[in-house]
Amino acid sequence: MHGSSTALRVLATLVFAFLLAPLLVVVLVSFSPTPAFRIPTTEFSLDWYRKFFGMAQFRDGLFLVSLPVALASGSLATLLGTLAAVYLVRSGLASRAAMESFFMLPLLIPSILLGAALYLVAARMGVAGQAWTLVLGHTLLGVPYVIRVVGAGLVAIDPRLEEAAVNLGCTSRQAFLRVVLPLLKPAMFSGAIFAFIVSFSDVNLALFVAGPGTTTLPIHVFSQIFWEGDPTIAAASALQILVVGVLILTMQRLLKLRLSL
Amino acid sequence: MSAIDQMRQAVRASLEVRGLTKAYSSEVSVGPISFDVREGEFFSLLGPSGCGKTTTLRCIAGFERPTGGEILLGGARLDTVPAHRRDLGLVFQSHALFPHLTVAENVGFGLSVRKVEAAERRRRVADALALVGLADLGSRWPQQISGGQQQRVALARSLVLRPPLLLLDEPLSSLDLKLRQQMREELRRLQKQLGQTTVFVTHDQTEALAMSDRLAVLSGGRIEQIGTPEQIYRRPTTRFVAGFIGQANILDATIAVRGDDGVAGLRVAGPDGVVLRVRLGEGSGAVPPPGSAAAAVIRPEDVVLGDDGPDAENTFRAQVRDIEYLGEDTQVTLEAPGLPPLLASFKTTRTASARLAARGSGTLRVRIDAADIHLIPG
Repeated sequence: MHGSSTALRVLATLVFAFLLAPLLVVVLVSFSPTPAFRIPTTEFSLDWYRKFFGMAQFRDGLFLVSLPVALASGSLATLLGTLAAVYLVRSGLASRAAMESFFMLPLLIPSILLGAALYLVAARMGVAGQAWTLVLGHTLLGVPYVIRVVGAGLVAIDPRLEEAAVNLGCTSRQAFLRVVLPLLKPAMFSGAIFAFIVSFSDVNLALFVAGPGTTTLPIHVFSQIFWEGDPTIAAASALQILVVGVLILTMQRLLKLRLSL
Repeated sequence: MSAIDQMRQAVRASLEVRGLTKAYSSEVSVGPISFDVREGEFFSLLGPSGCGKTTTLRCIAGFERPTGGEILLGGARLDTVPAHRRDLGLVFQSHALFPHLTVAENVGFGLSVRKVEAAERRRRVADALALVGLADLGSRWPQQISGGQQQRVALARSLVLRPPLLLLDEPLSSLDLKLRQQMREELRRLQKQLGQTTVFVTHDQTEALAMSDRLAVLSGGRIEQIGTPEQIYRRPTTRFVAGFIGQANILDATIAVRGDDGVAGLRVAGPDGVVLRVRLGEGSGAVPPPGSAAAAVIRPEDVVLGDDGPDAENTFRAQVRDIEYLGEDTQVTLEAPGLPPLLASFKTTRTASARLAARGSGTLRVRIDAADIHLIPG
């Protein structure tokens, strides 16, 4: 028993190291003073961060494109995903399983294909490269996550609570608004964070759909790797890791909060 | 006028359930079920799971639409009223407190839905919490209080609306034994104090017998018997009720002789079946004609052991097959010629135990009073 738990601990450590090592390298490189990607370094500098915030294309990519697009598509995906989840869970449709699989399609189709398809449609309609085309595309990617998380949250809510509300005088709509929705909030926030992260870190879809002026931060990093490649992209990546990391921690707290109820 | 007096005025209505049926499929259906609950009465629906008691309750609450029959509250049709306008109290087994609201907000929920003004709401919530003995817990969250307290909050949440009828769906089943007994007494005291008409659903016969003014025993979607706890226990009318409530020896037999004044001779089925003398009391109906099948119900506590008096009616010598000490009671399985194995029980007192021990390996004299044998259709 003890032996196996030690072995398990070693294995878990290795897996963690495997997953985290690349991230760690990126973060370390972003703080190194030399332009070469070299670690370990003994010196510490914020030069690359200074350069990152000094370059308009990076700064704008982060603040004017990636964050607003992620916020917009995250919110939109949360709205649509929640509505879909409520319908799927509550309708009692015989075709529910099929409908659920249908809503999961954006997860199953390689996003590079989705990007190409979206580009073809957008180009034909003459709206390729516009910000809201990107928002719609990312919404598509986010919805399945929201449906999953909110659907699970909905199933976990005791149906007796709604009956109790109706018994106390609520119409079924009031019962939903006064009881179900407040209890669903943590799941909706978690879903929103998922959708935000999916949008914020997407490359494949943006590669096709983004145009001049709507180039997201990951696309900039991606093209920088081809053309220049100095540790500014490490700084950009480290910033992204920071944003995503904080969101994931927030989400975990939300989910734990819900479980403790 | 005190808060309790105010509540008393509102909380008495009679309930009539007439020919209620609910069909789930061609095989699974409940009913027809008919019963009346009088004003201020504590009425229980008792039966094993799947007997239809919960379906009946859900039809009254409005969560299920009956297939047929009608439900009347205070003489007015209830089954046509939507669930949220029935204004009935309902306490679930799972309490179903709203986890995102404090105790006081839970209790005030129905008032806030009815747009009762805030000051009035606060006063009534405080009254209701005081009524269930939780005056100080209003600001707590449901997760922070014990199961018994949650149960009281659920009760207060219903009572604060002064419902004409309170429905209780196995509200005590989620509590542990000690707490359950305590809540049982408290619930009953509160119900009497308020004069609250109450329908209580349970599978626990002890609860039903202890708390009810009257109860209905259900089985397989039908009502087997309606009566006071004593009627149900002492004078069951069907084999199911006799077997379900408490323990009973049920002996298949035929009527051998019929005498006057409810006296009869009953021949127990089987080879060399003995004849038992039966004397039916008032309210037990007439003895069926000789030759007809009947079953004798004999409660284990009515089988008297080691009776050394002069030969009286229904006296046998029996072998002791098995002895089970249950603490307060001792249960003995007896075998006597011409009778199926017979269960007897007595209070575990010193003299009774000594009498049982004194028999040695021999037989024991057993007597059953003719008035303690009850007849049900065979």
